[in-house]
Amino acid sequence: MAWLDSHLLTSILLCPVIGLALTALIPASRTGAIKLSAAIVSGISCALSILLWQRFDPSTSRLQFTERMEWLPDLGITYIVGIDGLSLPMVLLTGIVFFTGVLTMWELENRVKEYFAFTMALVAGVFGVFISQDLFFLFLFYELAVLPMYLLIAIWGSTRREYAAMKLTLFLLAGSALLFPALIGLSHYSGLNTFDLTLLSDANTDWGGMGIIIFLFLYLGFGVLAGIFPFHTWSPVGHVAAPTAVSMLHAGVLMKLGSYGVLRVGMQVMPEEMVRWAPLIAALAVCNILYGAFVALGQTDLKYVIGYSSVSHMGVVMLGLATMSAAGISGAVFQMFAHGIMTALFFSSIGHIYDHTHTREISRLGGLFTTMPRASTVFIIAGMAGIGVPCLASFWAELLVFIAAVKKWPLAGALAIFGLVVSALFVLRVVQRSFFGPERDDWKDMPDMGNFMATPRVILAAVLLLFGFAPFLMLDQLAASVDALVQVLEASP
Amino acid sequence: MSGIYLRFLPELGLLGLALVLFFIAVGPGQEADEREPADSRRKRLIRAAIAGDRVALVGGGVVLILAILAVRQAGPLFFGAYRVALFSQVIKIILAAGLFFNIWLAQEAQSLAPRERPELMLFLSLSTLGMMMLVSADELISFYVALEIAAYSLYILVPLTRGHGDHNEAAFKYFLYGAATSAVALFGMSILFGLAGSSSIPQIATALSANPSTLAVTALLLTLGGVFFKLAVFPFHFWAPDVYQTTSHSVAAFIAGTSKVGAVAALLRLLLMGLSLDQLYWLLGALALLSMSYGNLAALAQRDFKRLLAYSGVAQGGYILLGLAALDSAAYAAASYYAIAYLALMLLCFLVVIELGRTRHGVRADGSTDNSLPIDALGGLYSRSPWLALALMIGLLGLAGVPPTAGFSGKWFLFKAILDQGGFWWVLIAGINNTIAVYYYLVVLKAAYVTPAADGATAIETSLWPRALTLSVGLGVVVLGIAPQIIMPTLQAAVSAMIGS
Amino acid sequence: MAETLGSYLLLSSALFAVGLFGVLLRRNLVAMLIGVELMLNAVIINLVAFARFAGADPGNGQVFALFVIGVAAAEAAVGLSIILTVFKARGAISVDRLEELSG
Repeated sequence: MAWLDSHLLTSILLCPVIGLALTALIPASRTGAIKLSAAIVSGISCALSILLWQRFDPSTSRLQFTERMEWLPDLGITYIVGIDGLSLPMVLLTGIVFFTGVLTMWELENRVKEYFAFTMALVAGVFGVFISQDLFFLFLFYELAVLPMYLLIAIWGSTRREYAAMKLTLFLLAGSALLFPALIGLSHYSGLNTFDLTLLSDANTDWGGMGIIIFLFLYLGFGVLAGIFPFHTWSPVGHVAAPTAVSMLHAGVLMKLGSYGVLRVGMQVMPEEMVRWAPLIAALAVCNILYGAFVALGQTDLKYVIGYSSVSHMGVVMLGLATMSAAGISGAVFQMFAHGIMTALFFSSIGHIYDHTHTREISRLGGLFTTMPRASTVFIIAGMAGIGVPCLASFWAELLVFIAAVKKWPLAGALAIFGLVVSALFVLRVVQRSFFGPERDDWKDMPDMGNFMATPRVILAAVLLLFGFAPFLMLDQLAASVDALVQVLEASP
Repeated sequence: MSGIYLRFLPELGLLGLALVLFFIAVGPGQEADEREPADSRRKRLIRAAIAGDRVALVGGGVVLILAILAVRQAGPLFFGAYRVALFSQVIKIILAAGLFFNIWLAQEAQSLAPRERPELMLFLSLSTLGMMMLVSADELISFYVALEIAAYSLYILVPLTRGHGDHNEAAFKYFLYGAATSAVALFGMSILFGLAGSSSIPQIATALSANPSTLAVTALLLTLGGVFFKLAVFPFHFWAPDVYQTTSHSVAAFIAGTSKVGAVAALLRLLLMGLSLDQLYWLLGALALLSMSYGNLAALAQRDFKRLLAYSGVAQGGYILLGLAALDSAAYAAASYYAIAYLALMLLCFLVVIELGRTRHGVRADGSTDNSLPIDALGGLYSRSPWLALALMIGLLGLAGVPPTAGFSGKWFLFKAILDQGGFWWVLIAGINNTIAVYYYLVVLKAAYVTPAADGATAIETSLWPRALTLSVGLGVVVLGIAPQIIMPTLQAAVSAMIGS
Repeated sequence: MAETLGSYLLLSSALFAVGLFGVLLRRNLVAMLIGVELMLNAVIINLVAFARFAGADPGNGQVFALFVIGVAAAEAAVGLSIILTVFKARGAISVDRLEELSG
């Protein structure tokens, strides 16, 4: 256990890697064993991330649980993992969505071995991004998380899956084309010949003319993954095509990689440039919020509704970051967490409905509450979280962001709040049409979730409620790191 | 054994192997005897072919071991015409490994007539011998002769495939372009010789840096052109798609992998000996960007997997050149690393080509040989053979620069090398190119993993050997990708030793 | 014209250009091969001339020239044998007939 104590983050990273190895070793015909090993591995990584949460020291903004190993000193590459208050919630989020995602796919029968192998690779990448403190490794894990997505959607997906998978991959890799020069440029123009994020942030480099370009590249490159307007179009299509648990991982975790990248690399390493570009980021974020909400209003497919609402919610995250205030940034990080859990809940509920009714057309559904009370309840809880009903986690997150936004840019704040009202409209419309209203004969005999299949949904809903009733649990963990970041930003001209 | 023999050990081993194979190829079993029944003659030839395959495999393994044993050797040979150093020895290990795996892949090759298989092994060994000499040559004469030994073996190998067909035309094109480019390179060498008054490459380098005239730059470029042809970068690439598509799979695998490593090594060796001028930064960089853009765009339109690999090879050559344009030791080490990764990835891709080739009847309606492999033929590979699908996935993702393969780390190192020389925008263009490339790699991956198998497509039995190859090379690619420090320090040391001397 | 390095180089450059154009423009395989031979001969003139006028050791360039002659002989052998197989398969040795392959 001593090893575990000092290598907690590496252990979390190793969980999916070991899972991948186990999946590879078990013969493809033994699907039960594969699922069991996946559940155990994801359960362990979830437990470890909770352990991490509990051991985290909220009083400091310094990196914690750091591990460091020389890798290629001549090229400035070091294996450094460590977390602060900004990455802690992301690690917990990944652990929870990973575990519940594996449980959600328990009934998968088609090419089980490959499915879990690709999922493990993806999750390894996601964990890696959130804990890496070296740009080489951060980018390595970032790219690692993108490619399995292609296969997961193209093989197990539904509506226009091959198109959606290709579009998603190409958009994200086009972002990487910008990240290659930007990330290597950070090391070069800082003159430090290192990819160590802490060193780069502490250096206070004068970037000269390259700063503007590098920051823009970072923002756009990572931002594509966060679904910033107008580069969001891959996201709803991808959500719709992906199988349930992949949608959960995709909307819940993968999109956060983008906003996390902007936060960790863009804001932390180049605060002056962040100050320069903040109005643009805020403007695009407001576009996200409004555009996502209005387009969601017009959708007829349940998954498209949620897909576009994700675009809207990611706008809230980016708006929070752009305010550069303590409230805004904490709100943004909180929103990343809350939105991750919430969309995972949404998609897992839709997944159940679609598996049994084989439709996601809102007009064809109706009265589901009486036939599928559990699935419907899950959806409604997620929906309430989506529109920011108090007592659910996202209420606090959105509240903080809006307060900060109204203070900094009243117009942007007002428009964002208007977007929230629109999203309330579409969520209520969907809930009313699909779950209430006259009962359809087609769906009379549809089975509801069994106890086992309800477990992952209950976990997700419980997390939403827990942080809804006790937002301080999250905000306390964030406070020190956010304050430190805000100080840096305020000190920048 | 005296030091001279030790220094020459890998080459001697290879020469010995080539001699043995030569006797198998022309040996007493091979001549036709009118009185012998056709059936028994065929059996005899197959026995000889299998014997040749096995001898080559064992010999290739021995050469690899010899190359590893000789890694610490250093010093001049043959009155200064030849120099053994850490760099050349490391490259020789890589070349020997490439040859060994190529021979492994070519065991019982189906796309060649049994009579020709010992000759395949013979010329593979001779070509590798030429490349090994190339990285040790210190003289223009020995450099030129080594270049031609490597090239001529390939000219003969390309038309060497079962039956008749369009491979002869591809072979002629390859030969003619090759001979013409080497004549142009030779013209460049003769001017270099004239300018320096000496055929010793280090002396030429000194003379060049003392007087970098336009004529000198032109002559240098012409000389490098001979190597660019082997690397198949942009204006020198015309032969590649036809040759890849029409020649036998085993030969294509060698040309795509080992031969390109030889070319990169020769290029590096010339640059390392100081045969470089500052003007090369722009020239190599421009050539690199043209090459990767052209290769990637042309690859988008391909429907044949082997042609696609050829065009992607043009683009990959561009990435290597881009790194080299930085003209410093970090770039040279990165290029060596990337060449190793590329060799391994090509082995994985051609493993799939060769194993699939065994199941296809490569004969057209008119009786001519068909060595092509349409991408559609990969359909449903995941269910026909999970092992081959895995090999293909690692190979393609590596070429696409996806972590955790060595393809990703290699690109990062190359890009860092050029960015450190101020090539920010070049890296951006290279990154965009990489995105384009991902598209066509994914199209192939989609065929293998997403598209269901065509009706009537049967499972492919993969024996122990392809599995072992997939596992060892695949793991190697991933381990190298995550932990490049296994070989990077050695490469850096090898490169610095060359620059320092 | 005086016997200077320049006049030899002029001759070799002209010969090289003729050879290069032969390779690029002629459509007959044998003629293309002859073009390459001309290019190699231009190189040989270059080498010998440089050895005479500029080289520290005249023997060096001449040895190089001998090597080039040897390689040129091998080239002709390999080239003609490939042309022969093309001829057997197609009954023609003109590039215009070789259009099965595109580029």
